[in-house]
Amino acid sequence: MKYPHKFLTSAATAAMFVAAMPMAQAAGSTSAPFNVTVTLNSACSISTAPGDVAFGAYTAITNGVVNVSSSYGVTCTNNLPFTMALDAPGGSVAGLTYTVALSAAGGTGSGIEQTYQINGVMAGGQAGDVAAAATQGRTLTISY
Amino acid sequence: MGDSGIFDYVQGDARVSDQQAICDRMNEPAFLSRIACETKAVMGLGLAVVLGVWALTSDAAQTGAAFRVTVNLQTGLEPPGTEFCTLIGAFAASVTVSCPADRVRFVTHPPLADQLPSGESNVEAGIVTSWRQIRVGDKDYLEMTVRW
Repeated sequence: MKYPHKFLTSAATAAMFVAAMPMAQAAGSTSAPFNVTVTLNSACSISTAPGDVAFGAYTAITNGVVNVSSSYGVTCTNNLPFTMALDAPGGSVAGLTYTVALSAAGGTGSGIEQTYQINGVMAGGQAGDVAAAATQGRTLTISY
Repeated sequence: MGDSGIFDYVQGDARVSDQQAICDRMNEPAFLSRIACETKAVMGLGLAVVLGVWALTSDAAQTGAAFRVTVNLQTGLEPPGTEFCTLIGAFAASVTVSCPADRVRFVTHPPLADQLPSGESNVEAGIVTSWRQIRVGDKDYLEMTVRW
């Protein structure tokens, strides 16, 4: 089949125009915002439990003052304030009175373990009591 | 007396309330604007009070850990050089005991409990024993201290 030259030229021009339309037309877009949410239940944990507050060997009457300490670790949510307390500031073991205190009353969570101490003091010159228990259970509490 | 609104605002009075003072600082002279401002201030203060009460009454979470306080009381009553020995055996009037560090002491011819009074008795050179007779039920026990 033969077509006139003019017809072919017009057809080719039209085809090029149609083919170029999608290329020249700007791509459309739309968007929608959305939120990412979470409910953070902040918490504290005694990540390293305190060891014994061990006053060791104490010779009745003649022993001097004894200072000991025991470390523990607390891990809390970032920026979460917390307080620390002991169940009592002192007690008695084997008839020997002692006091215990924390190195800090509280802190702010950092997401990593923070180390604190329980400091114990036993005065010297005490007679003691062989019939009394040489071990006493105590409790450390973290509030947040 | 200055201008007054529904909250009896008194300019220059030392008893001016907090919400009024807030509106003063915000420079709200118009009457209606002043009412709106003071209303918002009252609501804000009320909300702060509610939040404060909530914070005080809400239960704080807690965690805890137990630890022990220990001591080893030394009475100082133990005389130096004292050791506990173990009775190995007795034959006739001879008693053999074994003491720490593999030391063995022979106590020869100890007096029979029912023939001697209580007290010290040299039974061998360098060895002194004290003893006592203990009666438990129908049996007699001889408790003896060996020194060297």
